[in-house]
Amino acid sequence: MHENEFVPGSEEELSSLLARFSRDGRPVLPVGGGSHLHVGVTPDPCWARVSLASMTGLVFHEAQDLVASFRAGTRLDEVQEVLGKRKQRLPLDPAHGPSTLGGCLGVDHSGILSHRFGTLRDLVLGMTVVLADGRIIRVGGRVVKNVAGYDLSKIMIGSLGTLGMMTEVIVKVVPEAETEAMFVRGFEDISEAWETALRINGDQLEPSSLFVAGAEAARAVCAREVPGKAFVFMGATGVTAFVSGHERHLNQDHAGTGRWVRIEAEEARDVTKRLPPFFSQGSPLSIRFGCRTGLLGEALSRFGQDSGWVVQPGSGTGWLRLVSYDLLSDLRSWLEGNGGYAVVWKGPENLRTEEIWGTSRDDVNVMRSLKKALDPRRILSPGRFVGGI
Amino acid sequence: MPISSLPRLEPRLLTELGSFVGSSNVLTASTDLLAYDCDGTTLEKLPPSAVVFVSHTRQVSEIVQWCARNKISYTARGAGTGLSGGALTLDGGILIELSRMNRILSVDTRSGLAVVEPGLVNVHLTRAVSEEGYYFAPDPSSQAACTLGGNVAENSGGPHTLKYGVTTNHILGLTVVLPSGEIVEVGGECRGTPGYDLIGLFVGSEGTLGIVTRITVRLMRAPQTTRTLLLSFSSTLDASLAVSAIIAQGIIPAALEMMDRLVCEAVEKKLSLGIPEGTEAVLLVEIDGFEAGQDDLVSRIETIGSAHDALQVRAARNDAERSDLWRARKGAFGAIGSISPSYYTHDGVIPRSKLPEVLARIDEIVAEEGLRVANVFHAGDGNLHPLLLFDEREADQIVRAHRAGEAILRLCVEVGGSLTGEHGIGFEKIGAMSWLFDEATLSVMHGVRLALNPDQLCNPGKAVPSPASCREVRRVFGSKRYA
Ligand SMILES: Cc1cc2nc3c(=O)[nH]c(=O)nc-3n(C[C@H](O)[C@H](O)[C@H](O)COP(=O)(O)OP(=O)(O)OC[C@H]3O[C@@H](n4cnc5c(N)ncnc54)[C@H](O)[C@@H]3O)c2cc1C
Repeated sequence: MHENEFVPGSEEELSSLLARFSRDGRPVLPVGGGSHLHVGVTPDPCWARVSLASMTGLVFHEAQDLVASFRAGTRLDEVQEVLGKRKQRLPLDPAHGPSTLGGCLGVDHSGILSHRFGTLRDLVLGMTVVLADGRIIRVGGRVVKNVAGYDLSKIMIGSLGTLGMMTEVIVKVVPEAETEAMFVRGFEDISEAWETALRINGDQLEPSSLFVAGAEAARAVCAREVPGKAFVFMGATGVTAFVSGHERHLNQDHAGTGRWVRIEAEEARDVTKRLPPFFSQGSPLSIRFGCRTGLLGEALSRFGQDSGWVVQPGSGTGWLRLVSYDLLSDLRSWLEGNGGYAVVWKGPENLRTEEIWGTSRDDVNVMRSLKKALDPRRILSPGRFVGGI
Repeated sequence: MPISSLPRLEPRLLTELGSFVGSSNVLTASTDLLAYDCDGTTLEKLPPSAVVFVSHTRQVSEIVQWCARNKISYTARGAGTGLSGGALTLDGGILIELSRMNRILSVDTRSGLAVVEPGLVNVHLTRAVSEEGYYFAPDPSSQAACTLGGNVAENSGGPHTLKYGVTTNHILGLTVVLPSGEIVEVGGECRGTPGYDLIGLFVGSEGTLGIVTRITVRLMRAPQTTRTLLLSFSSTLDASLAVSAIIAQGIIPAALEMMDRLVCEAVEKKLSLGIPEGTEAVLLVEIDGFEAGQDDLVSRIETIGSAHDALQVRAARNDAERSDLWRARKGAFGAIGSISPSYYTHDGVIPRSKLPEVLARIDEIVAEEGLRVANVFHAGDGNLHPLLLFDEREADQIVRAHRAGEAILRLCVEVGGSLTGEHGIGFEKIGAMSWLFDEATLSVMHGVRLALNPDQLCNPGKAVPSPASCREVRRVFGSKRYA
């Protein structure tokens, strides 16, 4: 345990702790499972760490309504286990290691199932947040449709704990599918792989995930011996006829001279499970990036020579391992010049704000105003976020 | 409101306002202003002191800055179909009318997006891209009139949001004129842009944090097939138990709508749908998407129907039948006009498993007030629309309708639901926000408003109560009905 670590057991305890730190102007690093502290500008080691490790467990699971609520310190594998008892799950890629729900929310770690189910912002219905001054607020609600008041959960998600500490989260869950499978096809030519994925994206299929992976990334996540330099992966979950219909359609319309290999449930989940660590633990330098989907193909042909990458046509986003930091500025200037972005997801410790987050955009002032309204003394992870927030 | 008491701007200010947009684009004549004194919430009337028609972002920014200098409040207006009084000027402010900013600036189906201006009418976007096989998913029943700017402000939904999500799930980027006059781009052309999720904050903020002048939306690929079923039940209880059963089985239809007997009678007069005798409620269920597996889902729904003693389960045989069913659903509010002189609706949300219990309680509440209620709503996501029927010529009935409405909303909150699923708080329900949120939460929401809108000139009095405003508290409910 970190020498300055605090592990409050309740919202009230957390509230008085943060209120005290606010009064003393003492910087605090909110910590979930600690697996993603590499995201953002490196936190100062002397800050107090406040861990949610004691605020865990299910609050309620209304299986009939497909809604559940957990304390934010609950590990994601535990979340899935609890929901699994009622044959439901949170449609989030099973994250690796000790990731907690709160931690995933803090870094907005949603993964590739977002193609069908959306990212965390689309799954969270409401939450309890303890603000820097100790105020405890409850935003959103527990119903699936709700437009009462500002939706402050949205700005909490992905805020790296700079606006408040989430202590309880209400989420939409989904029933476990009757059948779950993933299909993969290899290509010798990256642009052919990309064009195929784009055609599938524009087809009338309803995949749960759809991504293209370079050889190194594909090999790391999928044990099958499928030859190729680039690979298209497509997941399908639903009733059995739905999944086999997808398989048929892929082989009829999107196989060309190749063939789609079917991967069954457990193994398919392994693929999604292995992706996040490939870009976190396993990599010295990983970039999260995005641009208009129609431009991703060009980005790949310019920057996808090293084969540790994954792109998702559904959202126009991707991850990329870089062998050297020097390559980042070209990638970034091309993406930013084309309306996109590149953010260092994992990198060397000494990077500065702009090196991590890229060139500030004009909306950074809006973000600063929000920070000022919610954490005026700047005690929560100061300097870790975009624009030095 | 008598013409003599209309809010007015001094001539000097009017001349200045005209200099931004041309004097012919500023309305000030009393007769003109009276046409803008309400939105879909027609019983509450408050005319603006001027209406300015804008045509581009810079103009909006200039006007907003001018308002800031002169301490004049302003409210954006799209089509004025809002159902919570969002587009009303409460204190003699001006209306910034966006309906002329209605261009589609670009469409890129390869990337699944389009860039549009906020005055574009919702259904016009879908029409423009449907030939290429795409559409814009959020489909409010008012989609033939309401604008995308209004949809963004209210985070609007519609029947198909059960499967496809509400407006916020379909917005990638926005250009916003902030109350400072500054023009900012938030979000972008893809997901995951660095920083706080400002799209998530602006969408649904009811025009209180700035004026949206450009929108990048996600376009969806049209589904391969669509199957539409009409299930008739001899009791509302059976119908609502069937809804719970469908959801609990994990079937998420594209749409799952309920209409009760009164609504069915009203639409039957217009459309002759052949709803069987003795029907107390119908469910309109739509399954869409990739064809494989649909037979399976349809037969499961049919089984659930029979298990709940459905009088009839009917599948639309063709597009014409399907569009008749949807005409009935989307025209339901209008049809109610033929059976009641006035009506007043709410938009409360409840956990969907509570439907049977809550519908029964609503009947009791309404009966106690000696009124009638017609229900037509998004049953699949628990979003109620009880229409309270009354006669506005009888003052006492108006009072009773308000009392019943308030009791229904309290009930929604009590069972763990919300005050509004898609129509927004506006100024209509602002006094009820404290039933749902505690003081700390409301003060933080207000703090967020002040962070971006410090002088509160941008759409004041809407969405989030300011801690010490008596005016808002008095207005727990405005009157409401739509024609
Ligand atoms: C018959 C009928 C059926 C309806 N059905 C549905 C339904 O199924 N689902 C649903 O969600 N709603 C429904 N509504 C409500 C209404 O149509 C929606 O709220 C719609 O989004 C409002 O759009 P509008 O253009 O009319 O906005 P307006 O009424 O003009 O304005 C609504 C709010 O948006 C703000 N606003 C407008 N444009 C902008 C902008 N560019 N920037 C910032 N703020 C802006 C206004 O200030 C106001 O607060 C229905 C209404 C009617 C009358």
